[in-house]
Amino acid sequence: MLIKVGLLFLVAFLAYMQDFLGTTFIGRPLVSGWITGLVLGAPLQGLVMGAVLELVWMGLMEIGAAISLDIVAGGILGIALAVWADGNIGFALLFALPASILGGILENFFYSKINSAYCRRAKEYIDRGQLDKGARMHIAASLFHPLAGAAMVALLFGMCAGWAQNLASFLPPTFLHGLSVAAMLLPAVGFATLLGMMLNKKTVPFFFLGFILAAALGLSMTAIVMIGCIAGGIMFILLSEIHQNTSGKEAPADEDF
Amino acid sequence: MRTSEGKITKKDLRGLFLRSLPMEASFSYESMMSMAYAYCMKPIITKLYDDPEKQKDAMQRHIEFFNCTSACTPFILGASAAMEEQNAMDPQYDTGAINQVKSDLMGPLASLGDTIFWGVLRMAAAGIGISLALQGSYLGPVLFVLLFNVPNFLFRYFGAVLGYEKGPSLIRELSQSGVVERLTWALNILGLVIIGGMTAFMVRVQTPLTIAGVSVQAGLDHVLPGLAALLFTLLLYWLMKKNVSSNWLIAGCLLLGVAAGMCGILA
Repeated sequence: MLIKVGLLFLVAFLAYMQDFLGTTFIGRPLVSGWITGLVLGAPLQGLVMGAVLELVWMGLMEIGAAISLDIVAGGILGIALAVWADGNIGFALLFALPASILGGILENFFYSKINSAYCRRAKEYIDRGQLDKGARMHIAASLFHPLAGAAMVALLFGMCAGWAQNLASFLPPTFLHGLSVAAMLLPAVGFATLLGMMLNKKTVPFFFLGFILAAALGLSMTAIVMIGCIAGGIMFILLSEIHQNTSGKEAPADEDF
Repeated sequence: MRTSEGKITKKDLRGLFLRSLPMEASFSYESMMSMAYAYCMKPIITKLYDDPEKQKDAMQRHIEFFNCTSACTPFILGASAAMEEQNAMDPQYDTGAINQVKSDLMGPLASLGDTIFWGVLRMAAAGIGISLALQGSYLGPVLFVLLFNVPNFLFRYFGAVLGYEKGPSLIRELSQSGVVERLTWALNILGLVIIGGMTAFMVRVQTPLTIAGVSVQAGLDHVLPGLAALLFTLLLYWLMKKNVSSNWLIAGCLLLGVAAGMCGILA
């Protein structure tokens, strides 16, 4: 058990380091899911749960105004506890939400208090001419949050694992089934939010294009993405033509590649 | 007096690119990415200026408030490097212009960058990755990381080089030619195609109910597979347009899902 807690600490630390390495998204549930599952002996389960949580997160981008949700903690703790308790995706969702709120509180604390303290200290060093020390405050602050976050995830897992197992045997299976149904409804909230941002009279047909390609033609996401790029490319070329014509410029005679 | 090493080299730009990777990692609400920016500029500053007072001035310039999409920051860093280089060579140079350019570039690059990286690129990579992972393929997470990060890293590296060589004049050219608007329009189109596809694949509104022995789901699928998911998503979109907050929609989905799942209306 202690080994599992230790391994989870490492996994969570690497996940939290996603921004240190260049905002690489390796801490998101789609990636952390199977690794978390692997630590607990069920990589495939973790893989699928990670994919579903990634989807659910599209809808959970902003819960409440004050605290943003921590997708790293939510993903790893949710999946870890669900795999440990032998539960299904509904179980992962049940734990992912509060876990992400706790992680969000920690993150908020860093963003509002700790990192600003590091910044003030950095400015002090620079004012005294100690440029090296000043610059290095950035690195110190950057490593602190991942360490704290990983410790939180590992500790919470250690404390809650046994309790999670009891809860799993206590909850009626229909309730858990209901949670898994809810998990597959939630992505619609995320998509609706994105539609709200991107949909307008000039772009409406393309949403339905994507839908029909998937629903009626059964194309894979890879193919749909490529067709989306082609559609975007066609529109860009058309718009550029219109722009050139309305601004009265001569189009080049032959657009060689 | 300038040292013989006053000019910024490709190696310096590569260093800028590498140091820019942890751009978001020490984020604070107060000054956002300020520490990261100063950390990136430091080796350039110590190279360009010999006088410790000038170095200090430069560092103080760059630990001011800064915020932009992480992948777009190397471009601005490159521009700052070019301007600091000119400042070091020319005593009459308007030092205030350096931070002015940073402020001018932050906004437009952030909105374009967010659309590209947090929006379309992430959705495309995640869409493909999720669809593979749901089928049990480990290729899902691998493709997700690759599809996102190859453009991410290329954009960063060439951003640094381009920012140094062309800098703010490039942004002026682009905004005058209207390329940014057309590009955003095209990106929105790509994004919508992706969301359309994902609505079909990844929203599950299916019923095990039968009416007089005939499966309702089979009937719906006969008309158009995924129709219920599409209508549900559009319903949520309509509610959102009516200013129903997303918190209520989330709570609603949870309640609806649990209730309908337990009653056997949805599966």
